[in-house]
Amino acid sequence: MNKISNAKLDLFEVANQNAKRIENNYKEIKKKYCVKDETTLEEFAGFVKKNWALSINLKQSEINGFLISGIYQNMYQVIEDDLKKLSLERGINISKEEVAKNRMGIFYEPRKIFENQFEDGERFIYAALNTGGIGLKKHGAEFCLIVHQKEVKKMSSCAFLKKESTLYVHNGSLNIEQLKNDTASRKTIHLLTAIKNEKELPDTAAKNWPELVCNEKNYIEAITTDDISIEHINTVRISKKSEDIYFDYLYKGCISQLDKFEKDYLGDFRDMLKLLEKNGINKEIIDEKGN
Amino acid sequence: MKKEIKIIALAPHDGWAFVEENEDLFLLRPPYTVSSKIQCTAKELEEAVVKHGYHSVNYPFKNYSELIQFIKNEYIRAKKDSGTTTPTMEELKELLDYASEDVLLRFLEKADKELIPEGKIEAAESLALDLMKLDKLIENKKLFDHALNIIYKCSDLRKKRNAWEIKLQEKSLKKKFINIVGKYSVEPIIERIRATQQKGVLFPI
Repeated sequence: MNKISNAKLDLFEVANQNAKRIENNYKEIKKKYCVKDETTLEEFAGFVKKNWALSINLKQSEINGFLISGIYQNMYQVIEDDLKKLSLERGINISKEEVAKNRMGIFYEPRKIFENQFEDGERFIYAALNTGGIGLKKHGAEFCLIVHQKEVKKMSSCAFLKKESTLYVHNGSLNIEQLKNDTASRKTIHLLTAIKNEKELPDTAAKNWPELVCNEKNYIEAITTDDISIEHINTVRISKKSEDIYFDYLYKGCISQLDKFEKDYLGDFRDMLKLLEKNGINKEIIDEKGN
Repeated sequence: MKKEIKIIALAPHDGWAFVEENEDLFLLRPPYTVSSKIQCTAKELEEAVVKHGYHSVNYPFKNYSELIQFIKNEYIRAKKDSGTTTPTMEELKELLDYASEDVLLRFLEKADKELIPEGKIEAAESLALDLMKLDKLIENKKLFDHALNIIYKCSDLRKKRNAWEIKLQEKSLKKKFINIVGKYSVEPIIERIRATQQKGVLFPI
């Protein structure tokens, strides 16, 4: 058992060991920059160092589940819970892998290839580096949990990848060398972020830096095996556009009738707001139009 | 060319779905309007399945109406399976406490500029009354006065509407009760008729 475990990489150790290389890369880039851009690069790295946090974007059902249980679960943990229920309530026994394969379809393989390379790969919790804004709100994950830097610093594990993890999987195998070059720890994350965005920085106004760091198409992935519990969260961000959708249903309900679907849908949103309030978590509405 | 649409990934607990339409990929969310259909990539679909528990499926449909109804039914079924009870409208109105002043202003403006011109006086009045109970309105004179103004507008409109109804009824009364209309004014006659209607006596209008 130990042999198998030892053959795998420790992602967090990889991140620590890459510190020197990242520092050198950063210095090289600084040399290339003209005086004005060099200031920008340093200011940007300083901005990231001061403001970085992790964000986890969740769907409505996911955030409600998290607020009720108090512990964030990754996909395998969710499946394990579902299987326990199935076994207890209906006497059905299915393997975790089988369910994961069914749920993820063709996307199961690249994820497994990535996770199999690392110790505790199945325990990985994926987040994004966030310096402001509503994170990766695509695919319905419109509620953005913010894990503040001071909480992340207390964790026993955290590594950052320059790009999304499965992008390191090509033709059925993981590009380990590239991944090793692209991995940073908490101490060097601000430098990796500056390296990643060096080309865009000179043309990006400081007010747009959060969007540059974390946007739908380009972000730095954060990975931990630590538990993320409700105590780690003090803010949930929601876009004004998303909030308006729920309040439009409420408006409709106030002036006419809602059908069962609409009532249930709005009920989930109400439950979430009540749970946020109960747990002392701030709700921040972000107007992406800047109004 | 016949349109081929199918759901290829579904989040039944959230009412969201990835839809393939011919060669294109879209993410569809409530309230399922044109603006809630967002074009996306295969990579985004992968992330949704891997990271957000969308179920990878393959359900074809003849049209969007059937497809949306299916998503709604799956959502209702998922809620039922998880033992959730549907909230009442009174419970949902608790959400008003969480609405920002901007949202409340938007509600009042819609009541003022949409409901009242459309003649939906009762709906506008009921909304304004619901909002006037909120602490946020009591503490914000501008919003409170806006709501109060809606109530006054509705009241004025109702009076005008009643007067107009009386005019209409006067014409009708003259035809039906020639002798009485000449002797009494219209209002007491209408009151008498209403009382008769309520008692269930013969000859209501």
